[in-house]
Amino acid sequence: MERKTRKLSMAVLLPAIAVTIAAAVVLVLAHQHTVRLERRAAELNYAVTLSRSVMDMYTKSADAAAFAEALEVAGYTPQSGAERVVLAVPFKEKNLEAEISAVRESALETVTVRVCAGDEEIYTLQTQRHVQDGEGGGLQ
Amino acid sequence: MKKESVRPATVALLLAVVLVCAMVLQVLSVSTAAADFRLAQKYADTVQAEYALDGQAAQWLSALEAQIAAGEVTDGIVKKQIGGADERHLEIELAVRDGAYAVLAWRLTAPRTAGTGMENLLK
Repeated sequence: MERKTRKLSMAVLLPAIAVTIAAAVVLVLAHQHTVRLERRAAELNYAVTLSRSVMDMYTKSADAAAFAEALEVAGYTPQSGAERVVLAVPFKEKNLEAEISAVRESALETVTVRVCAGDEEIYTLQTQRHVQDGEGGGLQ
Repeated sequence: MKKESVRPATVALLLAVVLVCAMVLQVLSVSTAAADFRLAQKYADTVQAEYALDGQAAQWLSALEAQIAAGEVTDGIVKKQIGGADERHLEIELAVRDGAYAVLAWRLTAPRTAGTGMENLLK
């Protein structure tokens, strides 16, 4: 009788242990997925805020000096190029790069801000602004 | 003294309850994270659309300025809506006078949907 009971107990306990192990694996995978989603959402939110603020700084600056000053006040250290400015912005364990480029065609200037993490592009914001003579091209 | 033994069925039942609780919490956690990500994406799209509208407005303004310079626009109020009326759009109002113009209004407007709450914020 006792042997039969022990057999029955093992028959219940073994599947329970197997299910527990399987469930633990599923829980760990689900947790990893959650962490990944949260990280991507935080990155995207930060990229939007960053590109928006840099875009506003650029479009509200009358010239290159004003834009450089606005960046300095905001605490960014720009690396200037002929037609673009690159900002290195640390975010959590990543280093984000915000690249601002502007192309002027007559009275219209197309301004693009791209936020990347390494080779991965996170967000791109683009607009056009109407510039008067002597304005615009404020990256150099 | 009677020896009390732990019944395997009780242990299995307890494990099942713990597992169900952990699963429910994890499902809630994943769905919250997914909703956060969807909201972030929606916000990102909204900002892109806003700046695209601004870009279209700049194009229109540039063309209008050329028309004003050529004397093709008479003095008065010029109104323009950029974007569809049933979506987020830009309403612009300019006063044209003596070959120059002044911006009277530059409003980003979103149509409100009756009976919805937070959805209106990101429409």
